Amino acid sequence: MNLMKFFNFKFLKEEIKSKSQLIYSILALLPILQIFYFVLQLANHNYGIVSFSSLGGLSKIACFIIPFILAYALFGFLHKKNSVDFYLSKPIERKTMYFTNIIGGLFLIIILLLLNSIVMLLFNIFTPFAIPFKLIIDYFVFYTASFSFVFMITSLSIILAGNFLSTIVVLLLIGLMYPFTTLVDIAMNQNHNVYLELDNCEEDDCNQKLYPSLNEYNYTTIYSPLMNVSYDSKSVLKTYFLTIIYIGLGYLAFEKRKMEDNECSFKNIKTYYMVKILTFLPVCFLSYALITTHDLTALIVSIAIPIAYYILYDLVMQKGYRTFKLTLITLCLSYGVFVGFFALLGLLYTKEVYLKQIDELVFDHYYYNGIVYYEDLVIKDPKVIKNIINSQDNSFSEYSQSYYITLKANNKLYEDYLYWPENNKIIDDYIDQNNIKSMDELYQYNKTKYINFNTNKTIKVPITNIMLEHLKNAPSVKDTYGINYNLYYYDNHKYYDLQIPINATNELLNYASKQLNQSFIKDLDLINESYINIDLYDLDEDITKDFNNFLLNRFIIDNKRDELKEFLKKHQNDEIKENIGVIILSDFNSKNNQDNIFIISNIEEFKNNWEKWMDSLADNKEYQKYVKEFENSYAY
Amino acid sequence: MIELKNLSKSFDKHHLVLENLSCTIPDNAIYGLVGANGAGKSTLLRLINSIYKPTQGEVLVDGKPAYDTEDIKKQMVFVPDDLFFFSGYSLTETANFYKALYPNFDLDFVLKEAKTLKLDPKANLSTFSKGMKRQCALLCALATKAKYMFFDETFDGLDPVIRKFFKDLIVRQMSEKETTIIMTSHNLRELEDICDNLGLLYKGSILFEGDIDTLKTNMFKVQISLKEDFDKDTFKDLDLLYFKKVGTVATLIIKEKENSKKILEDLKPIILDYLPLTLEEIFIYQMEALGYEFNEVL
Repeated sequence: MNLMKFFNFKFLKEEIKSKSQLIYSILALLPILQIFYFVLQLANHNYGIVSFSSLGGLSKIACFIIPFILAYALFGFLHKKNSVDFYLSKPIERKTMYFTNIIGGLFLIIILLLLNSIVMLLFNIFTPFAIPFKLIIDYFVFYTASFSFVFMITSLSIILAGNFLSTIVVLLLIGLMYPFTTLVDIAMNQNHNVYLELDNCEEDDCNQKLYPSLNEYNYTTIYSPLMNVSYDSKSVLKTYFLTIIYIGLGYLAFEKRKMEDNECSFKNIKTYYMVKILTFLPVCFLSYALITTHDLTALIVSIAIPIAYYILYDLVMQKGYRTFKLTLITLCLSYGVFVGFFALLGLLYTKEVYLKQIDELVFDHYYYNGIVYYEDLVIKDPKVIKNIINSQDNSFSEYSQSYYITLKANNKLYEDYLYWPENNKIIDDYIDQNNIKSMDELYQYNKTKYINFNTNKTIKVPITNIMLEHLKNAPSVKDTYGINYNLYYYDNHKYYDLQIPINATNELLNYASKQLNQSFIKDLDLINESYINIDLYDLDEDITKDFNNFLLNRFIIDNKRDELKEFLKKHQNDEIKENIGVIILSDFNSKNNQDNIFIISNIEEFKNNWEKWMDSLADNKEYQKYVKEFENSYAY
Repeated sequence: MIELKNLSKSFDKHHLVLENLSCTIPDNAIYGLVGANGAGKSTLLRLINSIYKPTQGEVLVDGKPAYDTEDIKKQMVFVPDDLFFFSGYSLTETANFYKALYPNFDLDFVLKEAKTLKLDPKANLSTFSKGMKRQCALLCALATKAKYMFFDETFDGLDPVIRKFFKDLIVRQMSEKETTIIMTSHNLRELEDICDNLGLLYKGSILFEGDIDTLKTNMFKVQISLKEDFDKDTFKDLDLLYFKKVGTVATLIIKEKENSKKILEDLKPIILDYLPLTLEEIFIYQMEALGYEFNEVL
């Protein structure tokens, strides 16, 4: 097989050249917007660990727009007679032209996403944004699938349709086919009443009604970000697979395409009606849903909508009616068939099921001892499942624990909340007995890349062997109090995090404090617009009450700004000692309320200075007012 | 050589644009395809150029099926009636596009002839008039040095001087490069002085085709006057296509036989003038001979 028969580089080069302005704009658009987005976030001090969702914030919208424009740039010629003449008369076979354009489009998508990934990488290196390399790879793989998928379904729609409007209709049909079927399934499942049969329930009405069954829908990657589903390998694979299928279908359609079909929607009357009836399906479903409300107004609307749609479709797609008689017949027939079909489906879904045997019980983020949690704790032991379900507090009178669970029975998924009295330790015992690893046990210390200090500033850390040793031997956070670190790394398409106490490792703390202090010093001028909170931690003592007076702190800082600055600059690189203090600069201009933190190692010296500043202000009436107010509120 | 075998094309079930069309276009000739609007001229060119797929039949080039074959398409260039240019492109950029696809493309030819035609090769084509755009398209097509060139309504929008210029270029191309040129027009006069073969397309079929020289030599127009009174029957030995007598002078159009001229001379005419026949006249009388009204056909 001669591969060159499928690709003509010279043609591609000329194609790209002929649309260079559009293509370069497209290539530059996303990276420029991405830079703009990051800069905006930086300006708002809104940085730190970047999630998959926020990293792809722009791309989840762009994946609908950019590939659409790209596909139109490459295949739009099919909708104009003169451009069809121009392209098709050139010495390139149809298959070469098709595959060259497809490969070209996909190549441009890859270039675009690579550029965007490079932007992310640069922001990771040169700014405080923490964007793990593996996350960027995931972004690239995920959005290459999304962009390619939209590019392919748009290309296929252009090939199948004769003009822009009909392309949109075909595109919506292809793109929304699966989400529509899932919507119907979800809606129909509302008629499906499922009960959890409890052992101690003698009458039917005390059995626990579950939420409607959930099927494991597997959307393509273009929909999952919109539905807040993050990276999912199954979706990615499905999207790539479908993209390949659509490449094949597009090839067949391009080879067979009647090139005389352009500048109108559908020349063939059968195709015209087929597409019209298919697009009528969701309208009929809406009509059916309105009918089931048993409301008179809804009933009128349910009849008006299909008629209006049917007329509008003809007007928009062909600017007139084919024949009134044919329109009327197809309207009545298709409406009757579709609404009848949905009504039948509704009847089939309406049933009551009592679940006796549960195959699987899944706790989404099970919290144990308040802090450590298990992501998707799956229990398959039928005895344990039965015990868990039956040990619920059926009276719901004194429960103190409630858990969102999904359970699998008869190959269907259901969701529910389980309630137990506080003293119920059945799951904790199960965890202990089965030696199930918690998230912090699963945490791999040597992969640590970031520290998030008290959920505020994120610092990228180069982990040394000494740090690693310290970390591994760090006391469990549940045994301590006070402020903690969160250690992070990104692996297997998700973040792993581990909470450790602030004094877990001196080396790490010193590293982090220097980073935080430097950043704090940089933002010192923001003090003018910010509130200052001072927490002095002595691991054996509570927070000193003097520093809890928020307004007083502010007053002192306002009056002793230069002295404070001088002190902070002098001590920004101090080694951490046992007692540490933290100045939290809360910048209220920041949208996400991200604070700046200064870690003071020499508490005594800070206290002395602070007291000196307080004394010097003692005669100030405003100062006295704040002190008085604070003392009163404290006494109260 | 291009052979069209039983070629049919329909755009919908009820309407055949071309019906069972068969003809042969010889190599190294300028073949004119005439026909009224909607006769199927442009569709035929699109079928030969693999833009459209035939509903039935096939196009053979040098005996090989031509549909969507790169090697054969490389030998063809098509200038349609409705031209397309890339937005923002100049003549040079358009020529470079052609150059990338046609191995023998002659960029110097384009630049040289553009200079003669006073076309700025660097100017944006969108600023050009319709006629200037057509000149650019023709120049690019001629520069491909393709073996088969197809021009649909070639000289639309060109002024007489430019028409003459391109007719000369086309003839030169044909004679120097042994190119076969197929051009369409709804106007016979347009093709008369350039084509050496003509086909008349009517309602999707070739009604009549032939070599213009043969057509012209096969038929002649005579003005004649005899000493005695005469009528149509006087010429019954001749294959008379047309007879009209005004006073003592008659105008005859005669289909050539071996001894037609001798028969006329034997009548000892007072006046015997052989007049040149226009292509239109040839067609008119051929059509009438075939039982068609010329005005219906063209």
